[in-house]
Amino acid sequence: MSNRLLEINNLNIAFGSGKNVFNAVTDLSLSVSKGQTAALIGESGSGKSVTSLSVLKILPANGRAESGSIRFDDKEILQMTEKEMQKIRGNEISMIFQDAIASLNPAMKVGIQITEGLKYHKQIAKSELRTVALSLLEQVGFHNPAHIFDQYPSQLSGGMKQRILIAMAISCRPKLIIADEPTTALDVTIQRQVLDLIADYKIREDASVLMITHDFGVVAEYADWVYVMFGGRIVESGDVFTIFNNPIHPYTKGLIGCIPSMESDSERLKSVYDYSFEEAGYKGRKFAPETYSMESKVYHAPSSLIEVEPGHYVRLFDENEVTIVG
Amino acid sequence: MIVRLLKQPQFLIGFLFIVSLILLSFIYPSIMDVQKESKFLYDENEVIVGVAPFSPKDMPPFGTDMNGKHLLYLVLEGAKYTILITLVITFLRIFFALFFSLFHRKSKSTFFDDIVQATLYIPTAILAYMFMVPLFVKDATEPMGMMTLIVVQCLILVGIGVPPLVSTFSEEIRSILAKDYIVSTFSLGSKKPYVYYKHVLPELSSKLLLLFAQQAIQTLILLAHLGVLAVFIGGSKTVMMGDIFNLTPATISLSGEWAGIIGQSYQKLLTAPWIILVPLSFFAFTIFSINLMIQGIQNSLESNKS
Repeated sequence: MSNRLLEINNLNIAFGSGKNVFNAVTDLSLSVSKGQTAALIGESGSGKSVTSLSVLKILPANGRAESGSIRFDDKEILQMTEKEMQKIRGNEISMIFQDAIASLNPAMKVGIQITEGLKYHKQIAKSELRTVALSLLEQVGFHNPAHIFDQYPSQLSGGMKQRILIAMAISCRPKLIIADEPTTALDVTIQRQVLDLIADYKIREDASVLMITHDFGVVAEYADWVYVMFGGRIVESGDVFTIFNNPIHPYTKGLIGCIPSMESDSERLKSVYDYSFEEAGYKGRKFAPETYSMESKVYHAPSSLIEVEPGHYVRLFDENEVTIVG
Repeated sequence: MIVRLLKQPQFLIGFLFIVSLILLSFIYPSIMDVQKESKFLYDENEVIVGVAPFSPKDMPPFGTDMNGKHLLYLVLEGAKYTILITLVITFLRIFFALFFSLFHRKSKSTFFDDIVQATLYIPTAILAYMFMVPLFVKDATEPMGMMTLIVVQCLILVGIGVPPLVSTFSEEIRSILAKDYIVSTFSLGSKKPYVYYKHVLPELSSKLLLLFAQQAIQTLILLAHLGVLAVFIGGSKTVMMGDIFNLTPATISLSGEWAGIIGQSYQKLLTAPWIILVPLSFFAFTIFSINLMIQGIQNSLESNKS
């Protein structure tokens, strides 16, 4: 049995139909090993969230996985029926969404929402559900769980709502947690609390985490493995030390360079575009894509992930398609 | 929710008007000194000085119709049929529309929507008339009984109201299902029936109340229009009216619902306008009351949000 809990291979996800087909994810491969945190990093619209939704098979109605494979615990997700998926969702894989305000039903008490997953997956008496929910609230750091149980989402702060989402996600002790930008909507002081809760759960339950983010600071602190994504494709991947110590793809360098530094004497913060055109290629081959504007994504020619050093992959245009001059 | 609604004066006024009308409709014969007909008006010497119809000034409060029947009693008698039939039609429209929207969400096909959109431009009264005329022909050749006729007519009126509502509900349900918290619920392993019952229906409930009131108004207006087209709920019979020198056939409603009063007398709009205006005013007041109730419901929902 492999050590890989989640393994995505050559996944293609498209939206729309006929002439209006839009390929949101192309030829994506990634894996998350047991007990590991893998980070999927990229800017908005790069296909990170779509990838995560496809793992749970809850893509929007006009989206579909056209080809490829998603294997979870040696079972092929894409071949599973809706009934089989319902047993996996929340129970073996659960998700923490980025917008806690929108992800909680405003008209339902948070305590009731926490018990939703338990009702489906665990044989717990109705009278016991409240006790389990209170214990979960305690686990995510609420000191007065009985009070919080009866609150509506509008009565809680952003950080509290995000902790409620975490309580919901961990309620059935899943093996894999997909955290879709769990700290984006939070202020910096709360971000750490939320990320620590996820990390604590991972260690306590020997679970795995697929962290979706656009913040390299978060990646540096919490991830073991990094996948950098742009325009629906992985452009670079490797373990977190390699990616930080030796980033090769200009897009990755751009993202790392965007982290504000106290030592920097620059008058303005740098953006990814300040880095992306400094170098055009690696060992005679052009980096793919050619530009980093979401409006004009360019993957003109076939490209592939090349292993530049053991476990470190970079996307380059195929050798016989495009070559650089000089 | 109900307690909050009853605290809304608009809702209370509208609700009391409609409930009083229905109650009076059932109990007025036992609490009023009912003298339903006054065909002639006599002076103190018992000499006939006038023949029906009488204006509200001659026969307060609302006057009489062509047959000398007091309009007060006619509208009270017709209230139970008009309002209850309206409520039943409205309830069934909402029920079936919701049922189809929830269980046939695949009907999101634009083809279905296009057909529904096209029918929206056909006046519903014409649509109902087209379906009901063959019914009267059949009833004339093979009488089907008043209750059967009422049921079939109600089903026709339900049927023509369901497709636009299915379209509205489907759109509404689609937008609710696209909300993040629904995706979040599905990500926990929830099944569709649970999501519909616990999340979609409660979210839809305020809309349902408003649509119910809106549909009730539309049904009342439709009944009034059908009355003008001499299509009466419960069927009609043709009687000869006028004096022996000038007998004219007239179609009268068998159930006595308000639209029937309008339909059988609308030729008298210029000579005896009160015969039309009294039931029309009751239609208007009922619609106004429902509007007040809608306002009350909206106010209650707003205060609930804030």
